[in-house]
Amino acid sequence: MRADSVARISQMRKGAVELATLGLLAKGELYGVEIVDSLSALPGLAVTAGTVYPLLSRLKKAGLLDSAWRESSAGPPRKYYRLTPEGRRSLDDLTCVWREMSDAVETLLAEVSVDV
Amino acid sequence: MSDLAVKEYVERVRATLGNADGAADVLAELQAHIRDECQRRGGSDSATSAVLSELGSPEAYATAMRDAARGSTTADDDDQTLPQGKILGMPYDLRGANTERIMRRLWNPADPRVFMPRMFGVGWTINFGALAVKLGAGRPDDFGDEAFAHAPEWSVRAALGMPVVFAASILALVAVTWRTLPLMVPTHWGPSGVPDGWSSKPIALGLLLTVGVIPAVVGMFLAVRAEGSVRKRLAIAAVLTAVTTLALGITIVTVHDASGVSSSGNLIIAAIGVMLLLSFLVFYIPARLGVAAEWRQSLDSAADDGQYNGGGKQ
Repeated sequence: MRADSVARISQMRKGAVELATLGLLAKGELYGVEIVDSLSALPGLAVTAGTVYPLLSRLKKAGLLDSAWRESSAGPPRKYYRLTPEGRRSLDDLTCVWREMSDAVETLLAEVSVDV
Repeated sequence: MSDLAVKEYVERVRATLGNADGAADVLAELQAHIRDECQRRGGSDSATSAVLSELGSPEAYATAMRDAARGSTTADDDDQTLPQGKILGMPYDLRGANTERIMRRLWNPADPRVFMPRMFGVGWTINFGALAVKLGAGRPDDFGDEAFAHAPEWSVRAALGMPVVFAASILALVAVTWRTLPLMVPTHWGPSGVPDGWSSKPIALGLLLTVGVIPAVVGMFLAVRAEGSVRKRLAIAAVLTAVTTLALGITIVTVHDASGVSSSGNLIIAAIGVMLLLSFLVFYIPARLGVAAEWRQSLDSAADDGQYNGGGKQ
């Protein structure tokens, strides 16, 4: 893959990973390692701990997530993340736009032949 | 009538944005959004006012757009840490330092990189937060902003006290030895630690006092003004600790070697080691104590609320 494509893809992914994280937490609260594991199990998102933790702290600062400490059966307490009501609204908004956008782009690309 | 309302809304957004980066794009996007939404809803006056009221006040809209733009630039900085440029393969950055930029490089446990592009000048900076995580002293999200907010005041004062003690030691050492030191003192050491360059006493020691003492005085002044912010004060403490430790180390070696009897230039390497260790502790001790306080507080209140088992994931 060309270098400028890689840079462009990383820009495109940023928003998608944010939406994926909100979507993941809509199902219930999770702690850091669980979030990293769930997201990195989806190869299309190409996330690592190095991208997830800064993202979590950014989403928290933006008021979309909050966190609480819970006792853990192994080791020190864990920080669990969950959606705030604002995060929930943001997820709804982003999901709606995501579907419209991906439908539109899919329709367009269906008429183009691409080497995958 | 509704056109006027739209015009007024856009104008107020424009006024709030001022000449911020990308203001023109924000305004173009806003106008397109209003036009599309109004059309979609039939273009009546009531549709227009519904669209505008959904957007909130023009000032709030402008602020949200500005924050979003700023957020995405810090995101770039976080994720890719685009250095401001490179010389001979080393990153350089000549933008001014502030608390956020210092903390993002010196104490950023969420970022796994131990070597960060330096905040000012050429080369790299050590991310002591990533080092703490690598050493198994915590998880990447253990030491957030709340940990520092919970740090006991004494630990922050101790961190700030260290550079004061070092700066005072430099002053005392120079004052006590001044009369007995020869006119020329060593200012450069060879690889084996033997002095191989000498300068006049007032210049050499004057420079050490300037580098070691003045920043500490200025830093303390800034720290007092930053009373409420633990992060800011620790950023100041870390930078000053590094500077004063090195200056004190060099002062000790200079004074010791000035007699010409023995050489101890290699002690500067020890001073660098001490500098790194103390810089780490400046962040780590308040963070560790802060997170412990956070745990006590939140687990206690969870137990009181009876929702202790709420997050029962094993």
